[in-house]
Amino acid sequence: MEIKYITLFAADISEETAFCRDKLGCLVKKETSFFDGQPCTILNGQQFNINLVLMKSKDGVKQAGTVILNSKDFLKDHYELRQKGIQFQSGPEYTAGGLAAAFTDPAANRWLLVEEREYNED
Amino acid sequence: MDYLKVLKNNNKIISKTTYCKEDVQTAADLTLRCVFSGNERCSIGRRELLIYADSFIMLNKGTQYNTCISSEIPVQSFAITFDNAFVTDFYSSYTSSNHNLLNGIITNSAEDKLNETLYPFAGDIKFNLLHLKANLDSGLNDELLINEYLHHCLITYSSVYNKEIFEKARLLSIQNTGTRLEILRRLNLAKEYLYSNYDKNINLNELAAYACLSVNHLLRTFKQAFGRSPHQFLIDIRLKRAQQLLRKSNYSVNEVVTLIGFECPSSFIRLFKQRFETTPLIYRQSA
Repeated sequence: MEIKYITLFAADISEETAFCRDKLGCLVKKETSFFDGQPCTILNGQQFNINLVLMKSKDGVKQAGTVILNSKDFLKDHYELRQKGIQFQSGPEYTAGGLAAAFTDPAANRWLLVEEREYNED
Repeated sequence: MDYLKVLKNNNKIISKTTYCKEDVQTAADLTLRCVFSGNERCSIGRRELLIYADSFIMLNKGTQYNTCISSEIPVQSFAITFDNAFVTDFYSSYTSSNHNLLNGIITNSAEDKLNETLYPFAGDIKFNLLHLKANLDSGLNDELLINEYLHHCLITYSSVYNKEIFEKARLLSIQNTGTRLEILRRLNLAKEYLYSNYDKNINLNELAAYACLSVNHLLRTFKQAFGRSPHQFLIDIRLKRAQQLLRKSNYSVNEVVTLIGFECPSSFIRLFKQRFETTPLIYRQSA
């Protein structure tokens, strides 16, 4: 077994699909249904090693999640995402685990861009 | 890879790989110097600092210095000169409070003379510079992105400076802030002397004279600031250099012992084992 998909809920699937495609460079792989007959859109990001499944959120229910994007070079990825129009909630933050900053998508899902840094190495 | 990059805002980046080089220079603006392999000797007046890959130096605008590389292995030296306006803008945007920014109050810290000494080249400043160098080596030309890296170099340098100067000064049991900073400046002279002469026999009187402190004052305040006596500090530097030599060179353990300034191989092996919980040979095999 493996973890193959992560699910994001959005009230407006086409808006969320456009965001993932235009800002994050994802490709629409297919539109299908996995369970309960609910339609879903599967996206595949060339730079991600996992697929995204976009599903319509239930009316009036907040189902926003958090996705953590691991970066090998935070400053470069952070710069490129800003060039594509992504607005980060705050500036890069140096934390005990590395360098991080967050943004949200149109469906209020939180995306955390993180470069994990090992500070104990010589 | 060798290059000199001058950005439109007059920030400059110089990367050079060489075995042998000698240069007399004046820091046109705030200048960071480091090496990614080997070592570089940097003389400022009567001070001789040895820069290895685990330390960097920040030179103030106008400082005259001489760099010298003479090595059997190629030395990758890297220097960034931050334009004065860039540094002023950094200090005004990053270190000023929101209140000051809203009221147009600018603190021009670019003109302040910062403590020119060796700082640890580790953590975020090293990660940021390694990424910058890797991108420049691959041909990065986007000046906005390069300046983003340089901005973050200053952020992380500020954090290193705060930790190495202000936090350490606070550890000294001296009431007056100005005196504390002055004593720390002299202690940093002693520290850089240990870093730069670790392979020689270091006499405590010479060390104290170099730092312009009495022996007793040096011993007491050095331990307060750095948590170790100068002797323990020196042993730590030697053991760290030994680790690098064991990892990156083919010198025998006995040769390493001589190169790092130890006289007795058995005491070196005992101290190495105490510090790293392994013997030099096993360390080399597992590196």
